[in-house]
Order: sequence, then C-alpha cells, then structure tokens
Amino acid sequence: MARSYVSPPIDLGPQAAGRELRRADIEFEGVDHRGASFEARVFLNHPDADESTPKTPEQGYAGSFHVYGFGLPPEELRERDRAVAAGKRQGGAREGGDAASGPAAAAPPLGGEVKVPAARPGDAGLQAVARTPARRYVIATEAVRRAAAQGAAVTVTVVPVMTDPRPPGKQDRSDEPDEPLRIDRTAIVFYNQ
Amino acid sequence: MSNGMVLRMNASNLATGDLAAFRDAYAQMMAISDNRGWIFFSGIHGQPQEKCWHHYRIGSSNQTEPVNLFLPWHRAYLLLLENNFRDLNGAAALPWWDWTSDLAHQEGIPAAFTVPTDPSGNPNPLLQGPTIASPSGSPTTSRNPDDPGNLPTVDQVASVLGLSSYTDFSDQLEDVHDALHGWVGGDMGIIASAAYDPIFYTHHCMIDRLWYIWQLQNGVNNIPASYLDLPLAPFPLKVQDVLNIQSLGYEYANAAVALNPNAAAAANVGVNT
Repeated sequence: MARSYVSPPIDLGPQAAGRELRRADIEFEGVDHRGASFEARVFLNHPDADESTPKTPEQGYAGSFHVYGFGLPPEELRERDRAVAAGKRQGGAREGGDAASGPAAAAPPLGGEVKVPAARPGDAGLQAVARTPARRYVIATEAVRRAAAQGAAVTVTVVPVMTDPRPPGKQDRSDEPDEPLRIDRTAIVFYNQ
Repeated sequence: MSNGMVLRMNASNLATGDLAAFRDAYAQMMAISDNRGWIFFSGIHGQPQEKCWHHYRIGSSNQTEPVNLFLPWHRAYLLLLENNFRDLNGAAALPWWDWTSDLAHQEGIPAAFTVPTDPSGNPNPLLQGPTIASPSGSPTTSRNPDDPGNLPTVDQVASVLGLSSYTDFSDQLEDVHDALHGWVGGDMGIIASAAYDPIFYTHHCMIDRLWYIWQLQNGVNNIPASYLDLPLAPFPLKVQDVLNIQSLGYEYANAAVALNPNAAAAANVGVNT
C-alpha cells in the first residue's frame, strides 16, 4: 500500500479565526484511484499519523474519504508511470505531483486546474475513467476550527488504509508500490455564509 | 406490486414468496449464457464492457468538463436488471440492504445473501455469482467483509441526507457507497469485478433509495440542468429519463415514513408495510 501523503503547511489566513465558520472542507485533487481501494484517513497537524493512529479529535482526525479503486494491478501501474516518466503518451499517470497547497480561498471550478488528458479515439470505459484524476473532499468544520485555534497554518496528512480486494487466503502485498499516496493538490475551503 | 408499481423492499424483511421470486430470477439469469444472462449484464459495469460511472469524468468526446452521473447511471443500471429479472420471474423485485440498521450492525450482509442453500437445499444464487473478472482468477465471486460495527451509521447517512446541494449530496453519498464496497471486500472491493457479486445490486438499491428519499425532500428534478440531456450509455436513457422513479415503474416501501423531519430516524427505516 502507498505510504501516507503529507501536505506542505497550508496558511489558514484570517478566515479561520474570529469569524462564524459555517463549514470548512478539505479538498484533494488528483487522487490516484487506478489501483486498490482504500480508506483515506485525514489528520490535521499530525504528520506522523499512520494506520494505528486513533481516529479521534485529539489526534487531529478530520474525517475520511474512500477510494473505490479501478483495480489495475500494481505492475501495470508501474509500467504506466515509467512510460510517463519517459515522456511517452500514456494514460492516467501523473508524474511527480507537487502537492501544492492552496490558500484558504475558494477552490477553482472542478476541472479548472485538473488537466484532463485528451481522449483518444475509441478511448472509453476504465481506460478513460482511470485517466481522470479524482477530486475528493472531506467536510471537516470542527477539525479545522480546532486546528485554527492552535495556529495559523496546518499540515494535512492522508493515511491510506487498504480495503483488501483480494479474497481470503491471498493476502500477499509484496508486489504493491511503496511510495507516497499520490495527491496533486490540497486546499482548505471555507464557507462563511 | 403496489398499485401496479414494482415495490422494492428491505432485503432483511422479505416475505418468503418475495425472496423465493428474487432468488429464482437470479438463478435463471445465471444460467443464461447470452446477452440476457448474468455474465453479460454484470460485465456492463466493470470488466469487460467498463461502462460504469463513478465520480467526475468526461463521458464523451464533446464534453469539456468532467461530470458525475454516478446516481442516474446506477439507477438506470438497476432498472434494466430488474426488468430482466421480471422477464424471468414476474414477481421479482430488487430489495435494498439497509446497512445502517441495528440488524446490519450485528449480522453484516443480510442472511439471505450468506446462507449456503435455499429452503429446498439448492445452492443459494445470492451467495456468490459467476464471474470472469475476479482478481483471484476464481470463476465465482467471494467476499472478505469487515466488522459489521464499521458499517455506516444512521447519523452518517442523516448528515448526507441533510445536504441541500445535489452535487454535495451525490459526492458524499458516493463516498458512503465507496466505503461499503471496501467493507464487503473481495470482488466487491474493486470496480472491475464488483458487479458480479449479487450483493452489489442490493447495495446499490439502498443508494438509489437514499437518493429517492433526498429527492422527496429537495425535489425530483434537483440536479444540474447541464446533466439532463446527457446519455447514460449503454442504456437507451438520458439523465432526465431517470429522475422520477414512479415514471420508471417502481417505488420504495415505506418511503413516506422514511421522509421524516428527524433525518436520523428516516434513514433507519427497515420495516416493510
């Protein structure tokens, strides 16, 4: 399973403190959903969080989103990523992924900053869908409010906890990639009205 | 049926005859090898036809922005399956799995889907389905369910039902849906193979039911206008065709009771009329 993703510090700005906060979302763009399914546990200001970290407010737990993966096998994902790195025209893989943190402002329209690869003739089904990076978000008002009370900036940690797509008796995970969970961009969005 | 409509009921409370009709439809469909059969229909969702709609994506080459047709696409998919069932057994109807109920939080998957045989001693067609897409290579599906205590709660669903924006509601309900697939595990755990497991359709029936309950509160036509004319390939339907379930010929038992100012209670209705 991929290792946790940790965002750069996100400046909450003045919106998080001193005003009536109706709702705060933690948004993730470019979530890789090509492979296995997993629960993505979101923690604030807890970069060392892992699968054993309790999902409690005291640990900075802000909520979870879930990825229902397309089930592409690890070896195929690695081949696609190698092809992208080599500059070939490939589907799905996003090379690197500077986890740019967004300011505490309204997120861009869906698809605005997410580069959707142009469809090839006949490109359909899982090939096309897996190529579209996923956008996910967690409604995390109370967690963001608590974090804002601690300081002006937060880090967002996403711990992937795999839901096993394999039947009982086939638990070997040694062929899975050991790299950080791929998320292209993280932002915290406030709704004050 | 209720007033000539197909009445969908709770999978944990099916009358003997209703459960028998449902099982019979599954068994017949699994024995058909052409495009009326199980392998073909289940293959529409993931492998090999790969038509399912999850989250935001480009659906056709003339689209410039991703859209999310998760709810209408799966409503159409269930409708076509149920139509196929009723061609085989006129009394069959899709039931829903209320994974928020107290019973579900004790037993997990409904007993009708986990017993090895039916009352006549025949293999239970709801236990597993033939598949050509299992990641294990097995010809039949299998599950690896998590602790029933980890199923979604009434309060979780109530908070989703309380969202007034369609896109918000759809996104958050889809997340609950995603979690369930992971909870069941096995072939249900990934998109490529999930629809070959019979529990898939009963899980999605609950998702569709929750959308219907939300529609009763927020309006049947409450969906982005830009979605209305979009096709739901490969079905001969557009989004606007599937918004009103009564026009599609079915309804959910106890929906009027489920529509309750106390959304927590509304989401936990599991008793048939």
